[in-house]
Amino acid sequence: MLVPIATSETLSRFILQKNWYRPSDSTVKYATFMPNPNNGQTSVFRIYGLSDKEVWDIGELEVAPRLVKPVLGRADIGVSNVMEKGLKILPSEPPKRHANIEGWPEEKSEQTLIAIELAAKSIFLKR
Amino acid sequence: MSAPIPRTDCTSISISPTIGFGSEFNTLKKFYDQAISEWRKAETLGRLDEVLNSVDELCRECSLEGWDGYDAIPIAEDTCYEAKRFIKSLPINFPMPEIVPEPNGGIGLEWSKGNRQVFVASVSGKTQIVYAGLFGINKTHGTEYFGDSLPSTIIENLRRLY
Repeated sequence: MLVPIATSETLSRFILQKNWYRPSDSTVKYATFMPNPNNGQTSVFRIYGLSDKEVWDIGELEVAPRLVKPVLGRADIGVSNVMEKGLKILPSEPPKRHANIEGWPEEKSEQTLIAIELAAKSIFLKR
Repeated sequence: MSAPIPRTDCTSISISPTIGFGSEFNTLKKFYDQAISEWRKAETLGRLDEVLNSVDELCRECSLEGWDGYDAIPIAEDTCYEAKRFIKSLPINFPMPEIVPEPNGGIGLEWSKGNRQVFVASVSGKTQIVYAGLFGINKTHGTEYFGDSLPSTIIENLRRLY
């Protein structure tokens, strides 16, 4: 049974693209949160109750194998930060703990603005 | 990707063809133009080449579907061309942007001056620029036609940062 999303939860978005973060000040760029063009969703993982190692393991097992590229880092963001932008977070398993950020506006410029704001609120963790 | 390097503010470096006349003026103007040209080469072109090369590199890296590890659309040649055209059209007094591949196959040109001081202009080979900016508590977003030169809206938003 899927556990309902709590506003106190943190979500992780794994980053496999070197141009999606700034090594100079360890911050995330907006493209990290832009929705998937095919389904209009941003794929994330719920990390409540997990150790740091267990979170990285999710990236290595569930995200990295899809591309022959290593996980370079992750952006952690609070559920409340996402919801205050009018977006929804819906659990979508399998894989375990997977969820999607949904409800993005149609207009790309508006999507970009929200993604910029999410990036500003997120915390970058380098692998 | 390297960070933007702010260029010296040279908005005052301009010359009007109506401020003088005669042979001395023409000689001075020629000397001035040559000096500016050399300065631009030294200060800008090196960095410009670097950024244009970054676009080429990015287009090679992101030419296959799913390049982001999710379901990203490949970046098309038209998009790369348009990104380079944008960069070449930038007035000299703005720093070069960081190049950001987008999951929808677009290329974002991003200027960031720290948290909540960000402007993004995105192209996707459709002669339009999708832009969004966060300037402290102020926000903006929209779409502009990308004709022969950069739309004034883009320049005005960049001025909010630089």
